[in-house]
Amino acid sequence: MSAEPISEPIAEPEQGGKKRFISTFNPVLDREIKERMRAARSSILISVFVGLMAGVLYLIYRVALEFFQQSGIFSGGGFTSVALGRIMFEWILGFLLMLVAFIAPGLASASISGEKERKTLHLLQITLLRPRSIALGKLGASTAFLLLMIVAIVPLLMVPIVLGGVNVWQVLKSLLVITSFAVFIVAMSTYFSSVARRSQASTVLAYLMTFLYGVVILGLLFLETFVLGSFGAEPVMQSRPVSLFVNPLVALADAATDERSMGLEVSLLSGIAQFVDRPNDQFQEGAQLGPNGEVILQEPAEERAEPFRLPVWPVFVVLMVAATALFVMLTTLRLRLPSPKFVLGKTPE
Amino acid sequence: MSVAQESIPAAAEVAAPAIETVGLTKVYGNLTALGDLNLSVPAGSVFALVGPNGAGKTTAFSILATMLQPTAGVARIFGEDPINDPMSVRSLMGYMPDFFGVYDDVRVGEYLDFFAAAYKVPVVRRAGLISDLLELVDLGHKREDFVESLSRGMKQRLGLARALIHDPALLILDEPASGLDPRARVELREMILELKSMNKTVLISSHILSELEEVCTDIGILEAGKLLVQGPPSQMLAEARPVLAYSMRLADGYDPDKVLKTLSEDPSVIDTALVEGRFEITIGGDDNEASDLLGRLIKKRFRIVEFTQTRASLEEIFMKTTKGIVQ
Repeated sequence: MSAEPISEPIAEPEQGGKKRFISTFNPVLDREIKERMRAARSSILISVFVGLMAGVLYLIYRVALEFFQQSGIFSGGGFTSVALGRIMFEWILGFLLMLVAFIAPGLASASISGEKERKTLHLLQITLLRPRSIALGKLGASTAFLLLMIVAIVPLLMVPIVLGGVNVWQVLKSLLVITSFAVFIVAMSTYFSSVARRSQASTVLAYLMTFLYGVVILGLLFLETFVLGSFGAEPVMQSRPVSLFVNPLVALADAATDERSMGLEVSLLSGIAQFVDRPNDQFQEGAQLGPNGEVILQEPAEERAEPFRLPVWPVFVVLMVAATALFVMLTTLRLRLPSPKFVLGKTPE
Repeated sequence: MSVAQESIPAAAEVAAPAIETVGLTKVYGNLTALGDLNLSVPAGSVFALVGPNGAGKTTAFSILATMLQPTAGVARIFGEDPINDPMSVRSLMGYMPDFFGVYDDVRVGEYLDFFAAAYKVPVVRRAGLISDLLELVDLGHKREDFVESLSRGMKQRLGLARALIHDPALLILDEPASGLDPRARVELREMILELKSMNKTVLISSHILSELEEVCTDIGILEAGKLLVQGPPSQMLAEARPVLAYSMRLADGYDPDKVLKTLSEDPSVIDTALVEGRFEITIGGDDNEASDLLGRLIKKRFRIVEFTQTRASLEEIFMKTTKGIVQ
C-alpha cells in the first residue's frame, strides 16, 4: 500500500534559501558538528587549549634559555636559537600528546551513551542509516573537533620552525602520530559509549581504559627493557620489542627526531629516541651548527654498517588505524537493531 | 467481537493487512512480556492496542518498529519481515515513542532536515516537505525555534512530523497522548483523523480510551502479553451490550414510585432503576420498541425532558474483558 505523498517533489532552495551550515555525506556527522560548534563550551575549550599551549611554549622557552645560559654548553647566537627551537618543538609535542590523550576520552565518551540518556538513539537506529554510518558519524565528529584543536596550535609550531632545528616533514610526521593516537582513543571511547547506558559510566570506562593503556605500555616497556633485557647480551631496544610500536611517546620521538638531533638529551623526544634508537651512540659535547641550521652533535668517524630496524612511527600509525577500525566495527555491532535486548531503557516488568 | 485467533483469516479475506503477527512471543528470563500474539491490522485502519501497564504493548511495538527481536513467532509489515529485513520495514514505517528525546542546540527545521537526511529523502524535496509537515502539525511558525524550547504538546507534534518525514504508509504511535494537556490531546486526535484521511495505517496505544473510541476503526485489548479480543469498536460495543439502554429525565414534581411502577409494568421494559435523578431503562427490543414506550409515557402525561439511548463505552468493554493482571 502506498499513501498519498505529503509533498510533491519540487526543487526548492534548502531551508528557505538559506545556505546550509555544513554538509557531508553523513547526516550524523553534520548534526554533531553543528551541535558541538554551536555550544559555547567548544569555543571556550579551544581558546583555553590554545592559550595553555602558548603558555607552555613560552615556559619551555624561558626554562631552556635559562638552562643554556647557566650550563654554558652553548655559546649563544644562531646555535642557541636552533637548540632552543628543537627543545621547544619536542616538549610542546609531548605536552600536546598528553593533553590530547586527556581530552579525547572526554570528547567521545558520551557521544552514544548521551543519546541513550536523551532517548534519541533508537530513533536514529530505526532510520535508513546503517549502524556503520552512525558509528563513523560519531567518531568523525569527535575526531573533527580534536583535529580542530590540533590545527589551532599549528601556528605555535611555527615558532620552533623559525628558530631552526626542525623541518616541516618532522612536524607533519609528528602530527600524524598524535592524530592517529587521538583517533584511536576516540574510537575506543566511542565504543565504550555504545556499551554503557549512562554517560557517567562511559566516561569513567573511557578514561580508565586510556589510563590502563598507558599502564600496560609502560609495563611492557619496563618488562622488555629491564627484565627480559637483563638476560640478553645485546640491549633489548636493538631488537625492536613490541612495546616500542604501541607506545605513542616512542612513536612521536621517532617521528620528531633524526640522527642529527639525538644528542640533545635535555630535550624530551630526543632523549627518548636516544634511549630507544641509539643506545650505543655516544653523546659528544661541542655540537655544531650544520649548513641548514640543523644541530650536528657528532660526526661519525667511520660509516658503520647498521642492521635494518623497523621504523617505529609508521608501524605505530598503522597499528592505531587497525585498532580504530576494530573499535568502529565493535561499535557498529553494538548499534545494530533489532536487538535481543530491550532498547527503550529498562526491560519491561 | 471476535477472538484474536479467529480474526487473522477474517481480516485477510477483506484486504491484505498492513501488520500481521503470528505467535509473536517475547520472553525476558522468567517474564513473558508478549505471549503468542496473533494480530491483524487492516491497511488504512486506525488500530488501537489497549491494555494495562505491563500488558506488552511497548514490547509489541518495539518488535514491529524493528528494534527488538522476538523469542518466537513471525511479524509482517506490508509483507516485509521486521527481523530479517528491517531496512525495508523502516522505509514503510514511522515510529513515535511516548517520550520525546531532544538534541541540544537544534532548531525545529534542522531537526526534521536531519531525519529527512537519515531517511534518504532527496535534498531537493526536503525544504518543501518540511514546510508541509510543519503546517500539518501546526508548527510552521516554530521552524526557527530550538526544539528544547517547545512545550510537550508541540514536541509530540514535532515527533509526529518526524515520523512522517519519509512519507511512510504505516505509523506506530506509542502512547502519543501521554503527558499532554486537554487541548494538545484534542489537537492530536484531529491529526490522527487527518492521517486517516490520508490513507495512512495507524497503530496506536493509549490509556485514554474515550479518545481512542472517536478515532480508531479497530481495537485490540492486550493483557499479560496476550491479545484478548480484536475487532471494530462498533461491533465490540454492540456485543458488549446486546440490549438497548435508555436514560430518562423528567421535569420536577414527579412521583418516583409511580414512574418506576409504570415503567416496570410496561411489556417492553426489562429493567428499570432511578439513579441520581435519572431513570435507567433497559428495553428488550429494537428502536421501535423504544419509540412505542416513549409514546406511551407521553400519553400518560409524564413530563419528559430527556430520553437518551446510552451506549457501552470502551472503558466498559475494557473493564469487562481484562482481569487486572499486571506482569
